[in-house]
Amino acid sequence: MASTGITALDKLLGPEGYPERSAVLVTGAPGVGKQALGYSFIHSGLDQGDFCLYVTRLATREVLKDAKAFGVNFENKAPSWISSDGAGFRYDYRDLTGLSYSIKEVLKKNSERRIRVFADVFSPLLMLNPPDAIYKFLTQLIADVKQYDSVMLATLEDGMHETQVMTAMEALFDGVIELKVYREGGLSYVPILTIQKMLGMPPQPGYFRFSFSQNAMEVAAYAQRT
Amino acid sequence: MLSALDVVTDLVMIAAAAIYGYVAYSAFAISRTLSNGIYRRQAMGVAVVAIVILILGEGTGFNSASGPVSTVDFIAGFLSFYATFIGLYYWIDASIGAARLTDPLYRDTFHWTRLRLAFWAYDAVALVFFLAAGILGVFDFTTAPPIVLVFVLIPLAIMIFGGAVVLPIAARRSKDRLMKKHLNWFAVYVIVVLGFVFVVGGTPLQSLLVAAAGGYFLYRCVRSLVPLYKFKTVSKDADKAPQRAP
Repeated sequence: MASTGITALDKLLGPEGYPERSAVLVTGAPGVGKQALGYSFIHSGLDQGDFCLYVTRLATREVLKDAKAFGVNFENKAPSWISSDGAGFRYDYRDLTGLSYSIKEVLKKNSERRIRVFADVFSPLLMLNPPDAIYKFLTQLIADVKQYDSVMLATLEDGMHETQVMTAMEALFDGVIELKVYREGGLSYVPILTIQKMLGMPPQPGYFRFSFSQNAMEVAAYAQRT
Repeated sequence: MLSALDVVTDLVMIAAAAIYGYVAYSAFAISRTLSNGIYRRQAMGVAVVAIVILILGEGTGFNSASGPVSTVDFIAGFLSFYATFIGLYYWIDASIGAARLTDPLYRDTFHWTRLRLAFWAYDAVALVFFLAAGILGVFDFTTAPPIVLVFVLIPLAIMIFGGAVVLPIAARRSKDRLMKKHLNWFAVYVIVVLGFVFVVGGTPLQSLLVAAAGGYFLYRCVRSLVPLYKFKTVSKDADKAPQRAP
């Protein structure tokens, strides 16, 4: 198991977080908090001595700055980066083969440790490349990552892709977590986390309210689908 | 004795206030559900515009002023007017940032990340200078020479105009369909309401009616900040956390 870095979410996924050798997808609207899950996941891995790889289309300094806003500091212990600027390997949306190769090389060099990979590049890649090419790329990437003692966490923007693309992407992953904003009664807006599927778990009917406070993410049971 | 027109005007004002109050509340409530600062600011920008319009409507903005204007009234009126456009710029600035985040190529349109800082700094300096000079008696607010007003208003105009040019370009680069809806509703609101009230003008009742109708556009704008879902049939007896199968 790989801790999510968020105690309440670990308990939810029971008992200690994301399943071993799994790929988990987090979907949600822009700005709802998907990146925060990634920051906590990577930070938790660094604390536990895991090898952590952060794949992003942003510059490294921008991610570090944004992570600090969520109370996650990567300055003392930093992950390996594949980013547009400030990393050993450069992210290039036009070169899927190169990206795949870079990730494989990094994983191979660190195969003796447990590995965590976080990637927030799939939405832009889907918008810039044919979906079939991305499905193929992702299928191979997940297979490569699972060769090792690893967990991969990826994000996908809700509302920016066709329904069939979202469905196809979710099918490639072992787990899908959704972050959505629900409207209740016309006056109340509630950020809700749901677990659509997770390797080794039965279907989950629960809605869980999440929030960010004092630089920590809190998750609490809210309601059940009847 | 109040005439029927006064009564109708007051009722429309109350209705408009209620609409804008609800819009501001909804925008604040949605901003609290978002974790990313840029998106929160975008939601807050809508709330600020709604609140400022609400204050203007309840104050002197929709009522024709008559008689001499005191210095305090002038400052209050000026700041209300100014706050409307600052709120507007605040929203434009955040929306350009949000559009960039959803641009798959992450382009910085016209180097906006740097340009915006210059705009904010210049405007802050101009406003502080204007208020300080007036309070210290360098000039009388109510008879301020036009050059002073131009010094304060020109950076504001440049900010709004600059933002209005950059935002559509940044929005076209974004692939977020909901955000484009949000921008379209806000544009309709600005053109119809602010255009009518501040440019075309009309009787107080006409302005209030247009503003109240415009509240609907602003409400649709708020609803487009983030995809909103409704709960399916739920029970609030939330069980303890589901357990993983052995």
